Amino acid sequence: MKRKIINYFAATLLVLLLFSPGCTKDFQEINKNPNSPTVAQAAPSMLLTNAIESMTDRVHEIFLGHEMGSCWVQHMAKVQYPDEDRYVPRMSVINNTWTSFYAANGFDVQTIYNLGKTSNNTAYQAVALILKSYITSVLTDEFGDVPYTQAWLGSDATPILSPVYDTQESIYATLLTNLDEANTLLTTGTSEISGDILFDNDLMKWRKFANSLRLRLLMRRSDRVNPTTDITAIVNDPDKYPIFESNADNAALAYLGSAPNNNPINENRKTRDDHRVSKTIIDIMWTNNPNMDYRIIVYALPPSGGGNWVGLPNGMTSTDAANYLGNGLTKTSKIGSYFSDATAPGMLMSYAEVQFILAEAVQRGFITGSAKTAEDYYNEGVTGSYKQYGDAIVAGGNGKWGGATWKIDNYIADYFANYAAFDPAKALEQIYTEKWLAMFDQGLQAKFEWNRTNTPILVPAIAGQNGDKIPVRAYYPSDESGRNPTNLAAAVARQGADDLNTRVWWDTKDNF
Amino acid sequence: MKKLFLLIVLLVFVSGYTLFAQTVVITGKVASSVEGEGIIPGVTVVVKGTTIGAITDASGKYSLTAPVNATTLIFSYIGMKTQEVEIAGRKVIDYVMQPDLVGLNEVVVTALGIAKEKKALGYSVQDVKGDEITKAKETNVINSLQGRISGAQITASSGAVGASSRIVIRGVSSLSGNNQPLFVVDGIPIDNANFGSTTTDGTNRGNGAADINPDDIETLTVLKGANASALYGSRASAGVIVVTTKKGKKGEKLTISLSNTTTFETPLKLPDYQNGYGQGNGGAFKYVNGAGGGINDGVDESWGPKLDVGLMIPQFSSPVDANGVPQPSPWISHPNNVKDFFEVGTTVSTNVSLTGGNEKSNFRLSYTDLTQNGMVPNTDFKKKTLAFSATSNPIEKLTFSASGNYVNAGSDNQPGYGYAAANVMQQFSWTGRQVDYKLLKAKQLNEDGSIYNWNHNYHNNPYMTLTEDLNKLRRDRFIGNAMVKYQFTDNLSAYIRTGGDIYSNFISTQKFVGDMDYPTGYYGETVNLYREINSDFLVTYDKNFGTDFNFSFNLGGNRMDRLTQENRGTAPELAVPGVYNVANSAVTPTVFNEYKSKRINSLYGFGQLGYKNELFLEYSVRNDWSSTLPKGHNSYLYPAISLSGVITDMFNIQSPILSFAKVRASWAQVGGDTDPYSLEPTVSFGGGWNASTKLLNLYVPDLLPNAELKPQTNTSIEFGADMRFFLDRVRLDVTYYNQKSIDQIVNIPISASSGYTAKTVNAGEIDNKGVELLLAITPVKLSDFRWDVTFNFAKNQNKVVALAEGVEQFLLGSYWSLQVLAMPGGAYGVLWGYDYDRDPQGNIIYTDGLPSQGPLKALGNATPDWLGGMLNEFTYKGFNASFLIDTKQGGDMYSMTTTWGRYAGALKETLIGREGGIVGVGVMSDGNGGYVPNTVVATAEAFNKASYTSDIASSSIFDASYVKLREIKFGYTFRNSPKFPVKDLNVSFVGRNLAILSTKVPHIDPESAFTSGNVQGLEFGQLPSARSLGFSIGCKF
Repeated sequence: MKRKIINYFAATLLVLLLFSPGCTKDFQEINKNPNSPTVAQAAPSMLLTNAIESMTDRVHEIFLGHEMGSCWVQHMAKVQYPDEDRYVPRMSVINNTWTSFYAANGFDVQTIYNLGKTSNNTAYQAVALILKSYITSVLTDEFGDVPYTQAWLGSDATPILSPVYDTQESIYATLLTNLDEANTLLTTGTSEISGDILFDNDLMKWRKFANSLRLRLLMRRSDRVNPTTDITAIVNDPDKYPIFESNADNAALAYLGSAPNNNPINENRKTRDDHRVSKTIIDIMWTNNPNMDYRIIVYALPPSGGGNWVGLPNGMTSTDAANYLGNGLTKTSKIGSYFSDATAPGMLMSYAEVQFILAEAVQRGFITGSAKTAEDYYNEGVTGSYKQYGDAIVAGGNGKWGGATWKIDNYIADYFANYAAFDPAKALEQIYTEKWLAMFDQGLQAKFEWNRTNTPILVPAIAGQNGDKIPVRAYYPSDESGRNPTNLAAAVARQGADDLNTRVWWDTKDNF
Repeated sequence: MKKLFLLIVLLVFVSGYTLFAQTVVITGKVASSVEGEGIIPGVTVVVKGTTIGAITDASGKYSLTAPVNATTLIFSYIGMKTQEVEIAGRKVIDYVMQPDLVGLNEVVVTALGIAKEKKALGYSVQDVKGDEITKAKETNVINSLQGRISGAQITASSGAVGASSRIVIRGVSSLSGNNQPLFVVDGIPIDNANFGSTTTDGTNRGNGAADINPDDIETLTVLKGANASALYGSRASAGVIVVTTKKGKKGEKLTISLSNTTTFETPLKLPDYQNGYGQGNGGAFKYVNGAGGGINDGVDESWGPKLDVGLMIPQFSSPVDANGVPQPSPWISHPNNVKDFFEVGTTVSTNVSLTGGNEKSNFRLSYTDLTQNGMVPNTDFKKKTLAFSATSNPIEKLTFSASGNYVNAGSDNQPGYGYAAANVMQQFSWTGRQVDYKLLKAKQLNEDGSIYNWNHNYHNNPYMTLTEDLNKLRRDRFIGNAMVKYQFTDNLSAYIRTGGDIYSNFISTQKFVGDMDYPTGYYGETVNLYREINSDFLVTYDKNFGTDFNFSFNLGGNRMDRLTQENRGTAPELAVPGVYNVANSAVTPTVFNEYKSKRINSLYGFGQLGYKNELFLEYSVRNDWSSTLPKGHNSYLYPAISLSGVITDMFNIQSPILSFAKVRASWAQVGGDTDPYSLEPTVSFGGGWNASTKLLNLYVPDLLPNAELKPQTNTSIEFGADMRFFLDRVRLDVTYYNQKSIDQIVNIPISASSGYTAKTVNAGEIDNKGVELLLAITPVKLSDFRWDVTFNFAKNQNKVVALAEGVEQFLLGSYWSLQVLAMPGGAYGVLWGYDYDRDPQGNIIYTDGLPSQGPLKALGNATPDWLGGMLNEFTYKGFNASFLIDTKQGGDMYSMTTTWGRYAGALKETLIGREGGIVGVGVMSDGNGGYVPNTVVATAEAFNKASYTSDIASSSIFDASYVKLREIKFGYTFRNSPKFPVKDLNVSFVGRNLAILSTKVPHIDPESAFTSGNVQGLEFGQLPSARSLGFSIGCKF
């Protein structure tokens, strides 16, 4: 009995000893992540869906697009917690902007490109190049010099964890080349894509987006590099360089009716009520001018306290804002429900913008031998902007103006007749101002354009904290000073003080 | 329950009286061996195995009637060694008692549950007996150790029921990993995870070790450093807390123990609020709809009109006219509105246990019921614990033993945290000071179904938060093990054991439709399953060679398998109000599930070489193989060695002054692994694009894995001395340690432009060195009175030596603009935030009378300088009393209560300058680039709002040093009488967390912490800690 037990015991120990501790052959199996696909298993289509949504969310993010964009360009103002409206951006927002565009959607796009390369899918390569160009252009327009040539190489065979910063000048040149390459890849290639929630897998629309984006970038650097050759080439060969031809081509994400796929403004307004439409834009569209701009019915709501549209001055202290006109909350206009709706489109680039770019190009002589005049493009830009909101203007205006029979064309005709007729004597000012009006809700792009054009004239925030100046760029993220200090320092040394007032390369004129 | 009790009492009586028909009278006299002490009155003499006994009288004599078959008497007396004496037919048994020289031959439980004489140890361990912590019972056992263990920093996070506590021994050594010790129950490691999240919108749902039931603890041994804990592997590099549960004893007759502790909890410290001014801004207020429709009625600040001066102002509580418009009513203060919001919390813990045994086996069965009702209305916590242990020797040399604990913990509601409507404390800082919260309790909905509240812009009716927004918890847990041991020869034995910690933890969070943060409602639930199985064996060989040498060698192995699972479902918006089910989602519900598994195989050898029982060499070596590390790096070996010598024996010192002296030295290394799946990149699933045809989405995670990780290493040395003086009346234990943690596996932040925000690497070094001191003195020791004082002191110097190359800051966590960082050159836990804008001399610069934001900088550090405790214990006959004072000195904290409460004009100090304004102390521009003293008067409102925001964090950084009266006990133990079946009857008055004797932090308990994770030094408007007072009663049958 006793011996038996001992034997069993010893045998068990022996088994444990021999087979248990040192045995590591199961380890790789145990340490295989069952929860997520490997990169090799990843479908580029699923990455594309996420990249488009994530990128559009970020562009329209409240603190970034709606505040550092729309508030600074005086489309919107803040009635509560007005820090950003007083030019005190949150460092966490700036860090998140950088992280999102580089590590989140930016790297998704890079991965789509890499997967497109390995699978020889030229369409994914092209779409990734276009999205990467869009993302990079926002980054460089916001910060100036940023990493590009060494960016997104963290998991490369020779990884780069601290990328150098490239000059904006060189980045612009590369982006324009990339967009051209994307257009070529989509023209010559036969691959297809899926998961595309922006253009529903329509590759022609991606080509139009690529070329329209090229126009935007060419015009944005036009005070540094004469764009005549490139713009002329695009305009004169629409087969080779198709661009947006109507609002149907707009690069706008059709948000869905419910979280998490709803428009960021819609999500914000569920719990917050901090924003009002700026006095600047309401004064221009309504208060100062008896000949109103009918888009106001879409852009703004009448104050909840009653009466017609009233804007809130930018950058008041919270106490002053709360007491503006007796009660800032109830006596000023909120953003129109068109934009706070769950399905409000996430606009990345519009047909109207393209027309205003072309109008400016003709006006400044950047198109040689143009069949169309600046006025033609200008008129088409205003018309395009009105038609972008056509149904909403007609629905909102019904019974208010012109009777029930007015169609959108009536509103447009009336607007041109009373207010917006092209005046060659102040053509550029008109083009810029109409572009500024048309780009409501595209806070970042409107802001970048204003940095370039300085039109319309804006008066800085009342209680601004930036030396009585409207910011023209954002600080570099504090994350970079901890993680990439040497390269950051080099960029700052090259570009100028890391503050809100250092102009980026393409911004050649001081605003004041 | 009652019936069972009666039955048991009856059984005891019956069995007791029938057995003792034949008896014999034994008499005797008891004296002390200590010179001059002579006879001892009050000694308990008991016939072993019975309840029969006697107490010596004033002349030291006793007389008892024992059954004829009685074999042994047990003599016991406080301060003397309890001794068994064979009767051997004698009728007169005189006895001389030996003093119990505290701890000299004390046996402590060390690593792997091995009991060792304390004097043979080469490193510092400290233990706490179960009965020290059961009377003044803490619901979270970690808190019981406060002030008792030198070098242990314990932070109870808040006064919320079931909240977590954090323990860190000898400082933080891991940058981002777990810095709390490993908890081991009866040889089986258990999980001490935090069950809740304490982000800005979470709930603190406690920590895993809180499931350990104080009533079942026999001893709790703290193995402080790597030197003591190396045998447990990498998880033990932050120390080990070895819990040994109570067991039955061989030959012990059936005993029932009953105990009950009932305590009452009230807030220890509430903020000092002002009662001079009510809600509003700029001195103006008028309520129309509470959302900005009136004059400042959407504002949740108290910069409104003066209170109690006869003003009539429409308020939320005012009567309304026919159109529903509130009419003016008296504008008066309610100074106790917050105080009265709190209720008296109750904690009732009842334990019944049954122990018994015969010559071949023993068992213990215990049941504990803990029911807690929080100070915050409608919050509770309940825990039921069933513990079982048994040992059997069916045949000689073979021992089977098993023990198990089943824990059922739960709550119908635990309060919310952080900057959210769910946190009622937040609402008291952002406040209308005139609000009478009682009205909100009486009425929560208007007649039309809308919510009745003082504010409809930011806050919920706090009572609705507590009755509708429930945070539920339900945990079922089993911790147990089974072991077979065989004693081959006197020198050789072996065991195999298997055991595990298995639990399922369910938590849910619900938000009513209309909640300020969740207007469309919310429901989410998470189930975590955890299973860790440890199977081990150990062969022990122990032999004396000659008379001088003792040698032991142990060979052991362990396999650990851990599987964790998380399943989560969320309804982000509710379709049907009031129904909390994931299926009731108005939008696409979100789901998440994750499985993780990990294995560590280990082999280890350890032992001891002893010489003359006065010089000891201990050694150990362990090799781990971890599944989480890459092939080629997944095997790692780490040794430890220690030497200790009893100086007084070695040099034959026999002195009345120095009665004992021992010195010790040790060196140890511990290797460590990492989390599963840290090697290869994967992509993750996003929320999906929920169009009519749903599109799945994938994203590349921001963390870059690393296929070339190697094990991390923690090396430490320790020197110590244990000395006793004046016949052990003074006992001193000193330890110095120096610990280095290198090659930490850490996710270092990298530039996001690389495509990732962090990469897993081996990097960083954290050093901890420090001194621990334990001084116990017995100033008075008379025959029936004794006073003991125990001091402990620990100073730890923590230094983050290096992070990864090129990384200057490692973010541990951030809330609002304040970040908690590790930075090279300083201690862990830098509080990093915006300072005031200052002139070169450091004066605050005022512009128009107001300060502005300056640079980001280190504003403080959460790591304390030193910790200490003082325990005084008195015994007089049956009375015993004790009080415990503990302190933490140094270490800073950021108090959001101050920031919010000053910004919002809620705190008392915001009364300053309300009428005349404030001139900030500092400078202003002289217009020529220089500075002159500030003379500009700002309104109190503008001044406080400019100074106390997230833009300027330095205004709310405080030195978090404190001295606390931690515990008071006063009890009486009745003498056991042979005629009375109830034994060891003890009644105690107990109090815990009684008073803050010294603090520099206004308004809050300086001990507060926002989380029990690595992000310390933040207070974020959490619930006040509880002062607990009550009584405890216990007895045996």
